[in-house]
Amino acid sequence: MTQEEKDPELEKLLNEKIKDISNKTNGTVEHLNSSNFDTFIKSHKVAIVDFWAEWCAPCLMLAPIVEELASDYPQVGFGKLNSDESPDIAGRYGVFSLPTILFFKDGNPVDEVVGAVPREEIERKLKLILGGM
Amino acid sequence: MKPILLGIDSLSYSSFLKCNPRVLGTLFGSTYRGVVVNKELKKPFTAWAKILGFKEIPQTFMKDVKIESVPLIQQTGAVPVNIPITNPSLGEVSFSFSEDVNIEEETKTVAEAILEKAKSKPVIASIVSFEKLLTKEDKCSLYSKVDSFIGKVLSKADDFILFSPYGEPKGNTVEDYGIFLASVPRPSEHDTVKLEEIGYLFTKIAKGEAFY
Repeated sequence: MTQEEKDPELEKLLNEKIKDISNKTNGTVEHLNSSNFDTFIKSHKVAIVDFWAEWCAPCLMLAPIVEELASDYPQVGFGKLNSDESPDIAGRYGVFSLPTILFFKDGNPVDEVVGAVPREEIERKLKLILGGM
Repeated sequence: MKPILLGIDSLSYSSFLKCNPRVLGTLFGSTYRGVVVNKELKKPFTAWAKILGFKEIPQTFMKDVKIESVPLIQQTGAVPVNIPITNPSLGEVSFSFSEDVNIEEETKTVAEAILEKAKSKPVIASIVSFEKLLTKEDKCSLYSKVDSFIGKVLSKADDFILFSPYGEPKGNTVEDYGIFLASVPRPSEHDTVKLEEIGYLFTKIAKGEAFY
């Protein structure tokens, strides 16, 4: 974490901005597939998609963290997509390792996290995206 | 030591990051792992009946089960310890599902039985109180207790399969996904693990036919 990110003033402004963002969702993780994926990422200013598969143990480790974040950031669209069931979407974004979390802004991928990482790592990237809005 | 098949119902990958169990974390990174997918048999007696090779899945705890009639025990010559298909559980150590079980007492007794019996025969063992206590006690404290137990048992084992037939209770349902950590690889590592495959793999290990 850089010094700038630790700045309490910046943190306060960031949190206020997060609160101000409308476009509220219901705080749940939507199940995505090839037919609803595009609509989902376009219908949220900021969206996070968790690419997973049933056989992937680290994906199951990460799932509750994504659910927690969805509950804490209702203004962000959270979805999960089974890469085995929708390989076209995974292929479109070059997702070859699971789990992968892609961050979308205005329908475009802007960042990613690969692997079962702590909540803080995902949250840090999310706050940077929300702070830049 | 002979091979050990150890099942802990409701143990779930979904709590690994939250509770950070030390032994399970080490095993996760150092053994052959998989995900048990089980969308139907979410009661201990149903899931274990399937694993043990019974053709008919019971609707409740089984009664009058003769140890020598259990298919997986016939095939492997294993000693059962605390298997949750009967109430009280079946085998060398036996705990009741109807009464409050002290997890410290259960893990201590089961660990002693496993380590003693596995000197001469394969062992199939289980912990029954973890699942019951998950909805009553602090989850990470339970993970810590079970983690110590797993470390005590598996640190002495040469070959083992550690699994859960389903995950944690979640609202009115139970997670479809259990854990699978083993000392030997599975034929198709990128496939999910089916309940019947657990017994099949243990038979292979017990007979020395596993693919190393």
